[in-house]
Amino acid sequence: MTVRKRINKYRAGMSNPPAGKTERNIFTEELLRSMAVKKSLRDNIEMINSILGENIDFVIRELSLGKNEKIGGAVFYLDNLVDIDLLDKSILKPLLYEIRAIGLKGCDIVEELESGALISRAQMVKGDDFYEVVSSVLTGEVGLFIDNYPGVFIISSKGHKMRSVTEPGAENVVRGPREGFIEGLRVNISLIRRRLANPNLVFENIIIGKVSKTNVCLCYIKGLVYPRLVAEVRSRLYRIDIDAVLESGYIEELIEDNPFSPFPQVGNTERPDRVVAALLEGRVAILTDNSPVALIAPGELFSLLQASEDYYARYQIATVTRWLRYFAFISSLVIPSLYIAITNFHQEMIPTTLFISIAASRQGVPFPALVEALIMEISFEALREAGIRLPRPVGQAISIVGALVIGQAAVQAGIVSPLMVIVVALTGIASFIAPQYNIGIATRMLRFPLMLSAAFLGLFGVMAGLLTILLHLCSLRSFGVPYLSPLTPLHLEGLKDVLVRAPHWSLALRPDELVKKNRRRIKPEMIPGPPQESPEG
Amino acid sequence: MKQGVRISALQLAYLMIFQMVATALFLMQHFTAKQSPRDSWLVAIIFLIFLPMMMYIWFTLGRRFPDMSIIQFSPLLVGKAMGHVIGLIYLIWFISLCGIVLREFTEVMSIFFQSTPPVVMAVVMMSLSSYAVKCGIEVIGRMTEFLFPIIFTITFISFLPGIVMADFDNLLPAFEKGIKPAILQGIYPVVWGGEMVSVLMLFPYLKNSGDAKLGLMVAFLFTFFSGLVAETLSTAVLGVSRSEYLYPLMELTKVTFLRLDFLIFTFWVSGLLVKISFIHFCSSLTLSQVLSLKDYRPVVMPLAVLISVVSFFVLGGILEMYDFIGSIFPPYAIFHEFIIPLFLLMIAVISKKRGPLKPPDG
Repeated sequence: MTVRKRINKYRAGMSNPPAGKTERNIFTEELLRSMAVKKSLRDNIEMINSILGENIDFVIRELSLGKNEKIGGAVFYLDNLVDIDLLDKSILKPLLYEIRAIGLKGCDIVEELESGALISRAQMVKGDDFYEVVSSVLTGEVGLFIDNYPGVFIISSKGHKMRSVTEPGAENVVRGPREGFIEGLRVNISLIRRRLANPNLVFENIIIGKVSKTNVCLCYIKGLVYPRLVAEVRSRLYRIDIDAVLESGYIEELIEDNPFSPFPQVGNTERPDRVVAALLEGRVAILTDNSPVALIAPGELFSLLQASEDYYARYQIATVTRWLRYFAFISSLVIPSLYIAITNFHQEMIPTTLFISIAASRQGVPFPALVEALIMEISFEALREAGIRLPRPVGQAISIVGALVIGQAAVQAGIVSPLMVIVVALTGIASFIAPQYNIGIATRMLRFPLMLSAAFLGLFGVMAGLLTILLHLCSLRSFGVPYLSPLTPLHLEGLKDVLVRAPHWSLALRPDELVKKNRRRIKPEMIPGPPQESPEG
Repeated sequence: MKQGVRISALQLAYLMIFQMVATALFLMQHFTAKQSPRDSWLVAIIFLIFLPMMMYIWFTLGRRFPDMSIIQFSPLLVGKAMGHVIGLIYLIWFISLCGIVLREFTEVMSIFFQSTPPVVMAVVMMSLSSYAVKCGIEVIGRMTEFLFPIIFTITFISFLPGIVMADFDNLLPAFEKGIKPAILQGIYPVVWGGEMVSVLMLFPYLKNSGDAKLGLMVAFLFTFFSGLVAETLSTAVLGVSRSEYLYPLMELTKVTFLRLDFLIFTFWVSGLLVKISFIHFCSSLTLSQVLSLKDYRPVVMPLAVLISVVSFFVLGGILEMYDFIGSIFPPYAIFHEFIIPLFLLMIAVISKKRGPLKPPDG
């Protein structure tokens, strides 16, 4: 019985597995490494079949090669991970037909293959043990056994289905490239490489995950990045010992400086241009296979509050937008607690007419301001969460429920005051302004303890809460870089990219907390202006 | 990537400025105008004479022992027993100072929160301070650096409307009550500025002693000019009656149509936190060095409790507090700020003793 037939029999009998199949061998890495590829083709086929043979997508095809003095061979691969066209054209066709056409003898085939002349695929390597065989087949390469040859040829012909490069979902721009990362690591690397044609751009591969064997790529620009930063990031990546990495969020959580902080200490983005900008600032990027989100380290607060479009828009509006963003960042944190504190404790601080209208609108409300605020904030958060998870067609229902039921009906029913609805709406808008989704999450969460402390101690409570947050931010570091730099510790040059977005001709130096040498970005005195003499003469 | 804990010259300057201004802003003005309100701007001149002298003493003393705090080097100068006595003296000084500042804070808070027991405020403040101290001097320094521009801007803006009402005729006649009271009230800014003596605890955290010089100079210039402006302005706006207010400068903020005084005070809470956490840090460090502990962190919480207790039991009420600051505090403070450092410096100069140099940064 040929192996092919046996596999077909396996496939046919899938619904009724043969006895003993459940107690199949479990192949650990050590076991596989200890199993060398044998000389006999039959043994090798037996072996690979016992490892992978029960999978529906595993294909093994026996060939007999050469014009005369035929020799046995076997090609094997996982069905949906290889490009069948490529397999036919550049592996099977040479092996089956071209050998015969040129009249190669079976015994010369190995020699011919080893010299690399026969098969026209770009990558072909040889392996000796079954670990190499299995791991390459599992990543979508084609293996080739030849009879009487104690080794395996591993021929690259990856071609699995992938999403095409589209606009990133979470970070949109008005002006700027429309490309976003996708799930394929190779494609992501090419997106970065295309923007930086520089030999010093390095992509280091690290395989993380005992079970998943995920490719994780450490990316930096040699000669620009601070070497100790790379060493630190690399050592933190190598330290990870986990079964599987399904998304870059796993890695982010495992390399943070302070794992208990609500603030993200690693930047993340779907935009290749943003990654490149970070690399040029002397940062390190981490790409994860099967994740469209790249990590950027170190990620200090102000770098997380910057959008890539800041650098594409005119600098005046970029500066204003930045301040708007800082203001929104703080307001999304404090607006509800300020409302609670002022209405409960410090009525003298607002103009009398405003206070009278607040008091009038709160007249029928049965709850204290804290309860009112909690009801509204929690229902708003619930609406937001529901809006993300619900299937698109149902999503509209949520907005109707949100606008009508929570907004209008709650006010008409006298459960909350109209001012509270405005406060919640303002907070919501403010928390959406954060260019990075996860920095908005920190303020969303910290809002609630602040509301509590405002209810207990008024403005002093708000201030105490804010000071605690400030102290926490001051004590945070991201890969050795203080979280609030360049504001504190003060780096004057860096402030040009934080308090304002200085024009490109003025952003002469890379941030000095990250880059120690090779800091100049642009030639001095690049300020453009009209020509010295008018062109007419 | 961990390096030794260091603070920059600028952070030192800010710490020193907060050390004086945080409480001086709303408390000191009452005293500087007590005897001769029209001459209160003169106190800046006294400040100009005495504070640089004291700073020079601290700096020359600290520079001799760049890697040691005053608690660590005084046993080298005066012997082990006396050295420990000096350590204890400073421990009591820092704890009592911190307690007094905390009391000043709770007293002001009780104006705004009349039915909240002051102990609540003290507990909140001391827990914040303990958190800051446990994070370390680096974090306190950074927090100061972050807060300084904000607080400075807000204070400046909040006093701007007051300028409109300034009447500089209020400054005349000069020396209305003779020269002596005008000079005597100048002791208060010197005492307040003298609290910067805690720089002697910070030398080990500086990159080099030149940073201390720079930091102290910046702190001096800032406090001198802001003090001069604040004293002049407050007399010009409030007139002779300013000594009757408990918190004269706070009155300046009330001239606008909104009652923003609490908002401004809220920002001052952050300034006070810097001051309290800094003194709290100094007292924890002192205690750990007196007891030769490796780390100061275990004593932070016990000291926080002790300081809160001190703040409630040392002074009986707001009037007693004002009386204490007016009469007992200046000689008590001058002893720690001026006499002991001067004494140690003289011994160091005579015996030609110097401490080991700083190890290079790794």
